Amino acid sequence: MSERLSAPGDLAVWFAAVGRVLASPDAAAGLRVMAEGLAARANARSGVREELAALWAEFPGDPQEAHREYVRLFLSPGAAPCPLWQSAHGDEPQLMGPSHHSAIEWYRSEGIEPGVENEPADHASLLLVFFAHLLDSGAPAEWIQRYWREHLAWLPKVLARIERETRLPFYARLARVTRERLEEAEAFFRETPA
Amino acid sequence: MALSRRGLLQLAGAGTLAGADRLLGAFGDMFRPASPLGAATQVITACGVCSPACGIKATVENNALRFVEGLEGDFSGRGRLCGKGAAGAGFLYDPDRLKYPLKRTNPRKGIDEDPGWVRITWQEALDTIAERFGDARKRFGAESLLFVTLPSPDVWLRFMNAIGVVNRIDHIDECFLTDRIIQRYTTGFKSWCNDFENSKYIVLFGWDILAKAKLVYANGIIDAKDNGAKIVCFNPQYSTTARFADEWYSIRPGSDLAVALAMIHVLLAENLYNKEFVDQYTNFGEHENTIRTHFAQYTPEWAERESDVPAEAIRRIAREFGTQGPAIVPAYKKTLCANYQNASQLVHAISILNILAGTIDRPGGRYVARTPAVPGIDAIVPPPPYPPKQGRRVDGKDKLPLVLQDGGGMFSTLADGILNRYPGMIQAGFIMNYTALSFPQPQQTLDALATIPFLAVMDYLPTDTVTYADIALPGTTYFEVSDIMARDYYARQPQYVARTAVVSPLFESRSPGFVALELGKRLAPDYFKNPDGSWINLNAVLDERTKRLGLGENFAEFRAKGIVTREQAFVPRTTFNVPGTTKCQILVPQFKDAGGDPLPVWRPKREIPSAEYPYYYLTYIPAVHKRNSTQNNPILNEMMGTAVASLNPQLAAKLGIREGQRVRIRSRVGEIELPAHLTETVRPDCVLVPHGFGHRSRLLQTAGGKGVRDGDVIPAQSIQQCVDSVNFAGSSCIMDAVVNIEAL
Repeated sequence: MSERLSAPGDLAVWFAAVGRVLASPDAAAGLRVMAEGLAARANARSGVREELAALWAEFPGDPQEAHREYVRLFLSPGAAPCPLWQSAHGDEPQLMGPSHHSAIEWYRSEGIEPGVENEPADHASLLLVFFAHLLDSGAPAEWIQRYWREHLAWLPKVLARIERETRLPFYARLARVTRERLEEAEAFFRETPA
Repeated sequence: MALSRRGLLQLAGAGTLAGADRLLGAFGDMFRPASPLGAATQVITACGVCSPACGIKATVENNALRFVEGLEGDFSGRGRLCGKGAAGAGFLYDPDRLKYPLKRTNPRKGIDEDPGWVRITWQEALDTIAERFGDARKRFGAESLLFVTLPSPDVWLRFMNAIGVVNRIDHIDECFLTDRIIQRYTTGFKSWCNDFENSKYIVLFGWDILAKAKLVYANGIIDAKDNGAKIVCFNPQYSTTARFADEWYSIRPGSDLAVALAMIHVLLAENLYNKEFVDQYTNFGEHENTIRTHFAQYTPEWAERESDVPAEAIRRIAREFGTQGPAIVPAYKKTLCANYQNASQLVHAISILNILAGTIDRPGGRYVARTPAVPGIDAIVPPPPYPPKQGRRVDGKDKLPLVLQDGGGMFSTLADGILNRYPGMIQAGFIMNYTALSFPQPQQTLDALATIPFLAVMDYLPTDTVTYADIALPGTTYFEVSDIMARDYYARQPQYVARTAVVSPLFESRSPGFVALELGKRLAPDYFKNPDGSWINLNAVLDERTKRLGLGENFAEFRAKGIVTREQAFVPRTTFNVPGTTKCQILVPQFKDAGGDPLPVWRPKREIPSAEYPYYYLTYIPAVHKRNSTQNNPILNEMMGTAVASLNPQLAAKLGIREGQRVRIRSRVGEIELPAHLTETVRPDCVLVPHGFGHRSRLLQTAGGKGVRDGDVIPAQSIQQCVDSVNFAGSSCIMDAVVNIEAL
């Protein structure tokens, strides 16, 4: 594992934060909740604090700018095709595809389900928060590896695309750091004996 | 994937970040304890791709549609679905779907402008629309409101009536307006079915039944042939149905009328018509001399010169038609033939052929749909009197008295109305489930829409029209709404089908009924209240409708049945619901009163090949697509994802065009460039281009930017052109273009 990521707990916090921020166009609200939560936490690692602070620094002065960019990137994806549903990136792009059902099985294995039921369960925000949950709860490396293969392997490529397509440094940084951390996490667990 | 529950964790969790703020609250915000697992269920519903509403069995799991298949035992699809129906999940789960209400922040409009969408709540969207429409109505009158929508569901019609909408426009001038008007005055009634199975002689002017993939009719015509019927097909294209037919004639575009007139000539001259039916049930006797004299001029020899169909063949076919019945000439919607400027006359001539065959509402002919009436919302919760409809018609249809009697509007004259006839009149527009591709000269339509100060568009996909919206509303697909469908395509007896929401509306999509009700509450509240003052509840209305029809105590009970048929014997009608009479009319005095032809006279198509534009331009709808609404479906797009221009090799050789080479097709209003496909199936004086491609919206990832818009070379028209050309039943003339073709 890289030096910057000294514990799965740090990763968990980061992925939870990103999952939360990617859940809606109101990125500021997600960030604020994350930052407040983090500030109140004595044992959080400084790396995560710094990353979140750096992200905040990139947040545009006009929150509607971030809102418009979210809609352009993720909800009206034609101009810059970065939809955040895993099924949209399969061989036959279609929402509610096999990865929706598989994600639900994963969530159910932990006794939970998405709070909103009429949206696909394989949205990156849900997948990342659930990943955070697996990391945070000390799930076996074998499970992490499997979850990665089944539900996160597609994401680094899309995050790279977001970095290229976005007009806002905020989303570029969010995508870059998340991509790097996903790759670090994958490498770490790949090297960890099951 | 087979996961076993680890059972280590509860929602509150005990990880490194334990407690209520676990994962900084994100976990608890986005997940909840799992509800008991439901097994996969099967739901009966009705397909919504096209009108016959074939029965569907849908398998649903995890609130997601997994699979659709045809419903065994349902006559409409006979347990099968066409390609479009089978690909239905691709509409529901299109990743490009509009998901939430959106508001434009960039005031500049254009297909390449980024609208700068921001997501808004339904509350804000509805409040804004109501405010803008209310304001326009107050300042400029109801004529300033434009609704480009169908009149359904009925609560939507109630909403438009309640605010006095004058300008409701729909596509029916391109589809069945002409047929509806002509049938009303010749044979009565609005909806007709074709009894192919019992027919022995079928004459098709243009309608490519097999390729249209309406299974109920495709099966019908296959049955007809099995039962020994003879099928004769007139079509400039050697279509799928032409190949299936016993005889095919490569007719000159726009000249079907000549052949139909000559067939009438033969039937009358040789007295081969069904005398018993004609004497008893038509006005032939009252006008016999006039009718006989009129048709005497249209000899088969004359028709051959106009149509390229040999006189001998016309004469023989007419004789067979008159003697080998039951015989039928179906006139139907977008048959190639019925979209010329002479469509009013052609459909009238076709209707006369059916009358002379004596098969109106008789086995083997066209019969009045035994579609049962479904009580509308106005019957269930009677509204206060509606305000009178006052104001000018932007499509000008008030200039065509018979068209004005019909409830629909006209696509082909809309842009002219907005831009030239009444500039500035329309102040607020609402478009539902129509894209600009539906119109001739679509760019002109978009330019017209761009002049409207406020435009709301509701659709399930971000179409080209959505790109011009000030507010975009996410609509539902047919898998997300419930209603009672009364079958009207194969309606020998009343039949009801439950269209059932198999899944909850995806994201924040909502039904048209919801929008009508919510806008109604804001703009005309008195029309949306129950007698006790509470707001109308659409589910309660559906339950009441179910009850009144005797289909169950409530809709849930009916949906469990799926389909209910009221068995009844077919009793041929002896009176016909024609205005002012109970008989079928061959000579129609009302047509004359309306500035039309009381008997069909020969009128050539609007545009004839010239030195500048030497070729006929024909458009068609491919079997795998429904108009312009299915190209973004990944499966259907893979089957046919773009447009090619079909040309006869003889013409291609003359113009130096090779297979696959790009060609430019130019008409007096525009040009398109696309690859050529050489095929013997098209006449050498024609070029054939499919409809439905050339979506420009970059928000459509699968269909956007692929192919060309067939309409770019099809001239739209003005209402005055309709009047001047005796196009009294309002054909949109989409087959009337002539073009130049050059190799690139």
